[in-house]
Amino acid sequence: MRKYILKRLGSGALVVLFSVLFNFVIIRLAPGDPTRLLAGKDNPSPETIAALRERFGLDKPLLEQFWIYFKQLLHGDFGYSYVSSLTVWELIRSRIVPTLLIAFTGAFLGLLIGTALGIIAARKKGSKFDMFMCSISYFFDSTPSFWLGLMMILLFASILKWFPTYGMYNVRQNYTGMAHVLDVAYHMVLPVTTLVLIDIPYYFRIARSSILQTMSEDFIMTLRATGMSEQKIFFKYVMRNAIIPTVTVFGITLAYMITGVAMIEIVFAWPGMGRLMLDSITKRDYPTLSAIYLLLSISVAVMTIVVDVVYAWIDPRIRIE
Amino acid sequence: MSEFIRIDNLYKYYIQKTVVNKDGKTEHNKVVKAVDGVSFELKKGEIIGVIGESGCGKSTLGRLLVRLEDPTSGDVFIEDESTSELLKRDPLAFRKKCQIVFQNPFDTFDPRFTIRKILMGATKLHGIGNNDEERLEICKKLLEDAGIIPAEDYLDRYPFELSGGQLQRISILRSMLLNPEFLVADEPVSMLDVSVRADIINMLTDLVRKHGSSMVFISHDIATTRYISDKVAVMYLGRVVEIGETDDILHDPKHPYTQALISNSPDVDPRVKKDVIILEGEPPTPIDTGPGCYFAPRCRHACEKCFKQYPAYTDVGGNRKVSCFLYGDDVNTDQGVDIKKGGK
Repeated sequence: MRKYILKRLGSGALVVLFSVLFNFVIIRLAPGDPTRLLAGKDNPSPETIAALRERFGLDKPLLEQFWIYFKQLLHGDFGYSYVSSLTVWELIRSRIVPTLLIAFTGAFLGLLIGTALGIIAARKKGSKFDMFMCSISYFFDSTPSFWLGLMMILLFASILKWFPTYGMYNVRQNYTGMAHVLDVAYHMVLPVTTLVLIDIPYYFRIARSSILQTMSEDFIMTLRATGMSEQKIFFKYVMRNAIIPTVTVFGITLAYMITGVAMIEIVFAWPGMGRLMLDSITKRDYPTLSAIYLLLSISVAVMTIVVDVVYAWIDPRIRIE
Repeated sequence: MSEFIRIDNLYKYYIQKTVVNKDGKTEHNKVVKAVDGVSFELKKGEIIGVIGESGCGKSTLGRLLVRLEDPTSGDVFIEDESTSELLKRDPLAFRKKCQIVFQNPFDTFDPRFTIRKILMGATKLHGIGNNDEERLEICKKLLEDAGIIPAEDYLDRYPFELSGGQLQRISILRSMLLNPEFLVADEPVSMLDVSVRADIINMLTDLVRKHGSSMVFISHDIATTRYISDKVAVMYLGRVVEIGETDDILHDPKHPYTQALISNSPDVDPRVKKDVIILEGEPPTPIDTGPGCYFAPRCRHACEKCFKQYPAYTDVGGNRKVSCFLYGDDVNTDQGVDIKKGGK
């Protein structure tokens, strides 16, 4: 088991290292030049551009740029944003909490509700409930998240006026303490609901199909023949086997959460990482982009290791081989 | 009644929602007659072999006998007691009485449980042994008796770490642990290497004889069946076409289907020349079985009557029954069960 974890850690570190290199190169290979964007459109003088290039070190050869970047990274320094003159870390820090707030809440609720519905549908396979849930899950699965978000705004914010249309908190009031928490929660309702509705079908279908598959395994018949009650078979044997795919999907979802849920964030004007990333792309803000991608690759690597370890813990077949 | 187990007109029909015919057309809601009126009796300690080709309903019959599936109609009686009622009254007691050994030992156990947990779980569930130590002793002794030595080495292994032969031994142990009075073995050796088959069969028969249990041994291997069973029932498309003592049937098969089946089974002595009967026609499906004898389309003795009516059983002496017009004229008037009305 220990060897297994060490091996996974080693390959995870390698993945992160390579992604640092690839991120750096690929971002700079993309067309577009940050200095031109910064200098403005109205006939920028070559001197301004040259000065900007020198200021950000873009005049140096690519290899040297990478070496400087890499040395800074090892010191935990992501550098300055080209655009906002804040450090990249400050930018990310202010965005990451709001993002995780809605992304995690949404994924977690989606996991709970979707899995629960999947379990109920699997137990009543072929019933009206099952058929209804299956068809509605296809509906929400094929719905684009931004469209659903817009519809939610239209219905619950514009027409019914139950919830605010955008933002994370009321900028006109300076709430503090509990009032601030409640205000944020109130603003979270629509984006989180949209996320949950989009997430439910995944967990629903995975839970339903893996439970049905486990129920049709031969060893379930053995347990029945031994005389075990259906209740016990289901909760002790079926559930524990059927939960494995859900764990994987949830783990991977968590990994990608760091870049946020860009579409939803834009629709609801949520100050999150997804928007930061899209903005950085359009503005060719190399340091910010590199940092976001680096965080993403670290989080994917870490979550993959976590999922692998959880897997091995649940399933002895992986642990022992 | 001296019969220990009585199987009374057992039917199992399934409804298949879509059937694709040979001409490519699809039909809906066809009735598949997996088991179509099977009756026989077993004395205490007797072993009956059920043989037949793939898809003739052998395994369904096996599952019906231990009530892992509910029959569409009919019932199984143990000492004149209906198993449906027994199952309703005390499922645990019924499971202790009737056990089954499955075909595929690799899929028989939950891959995430050790052998210890599997065996201890079964003993605990049925209250065998007073405490865990006693139960462990029982399990260890059983394992060692079955040639899994030392038991300690195997108890904490997972099913995927054992070979098919070892797993099938454990599967048989799991069933015999409960001292069942009635055991169904559903092709217990067909997934195993030929080299370990004899061992497994011997272990199974030893245990069954020791406990005085009755056994239904389902197989498509005639040689194995001959070796193990006292009686043989030959199945074709969900029906028993011939039943009797093993030696009688294998040396002098009466029903044309049995004749074909046995003529096709290899002999130990390669010098023995046999007339191999090759069956003509298409392999059967248990959908839309006609009014006549199910075997008639492939039978070389088939006459006009065979296509119109199903033959009843004729007693041909020596406790042996054949369902064929070659031996008697009686007609089986059984119309089967209406699945939409009766049963589920």
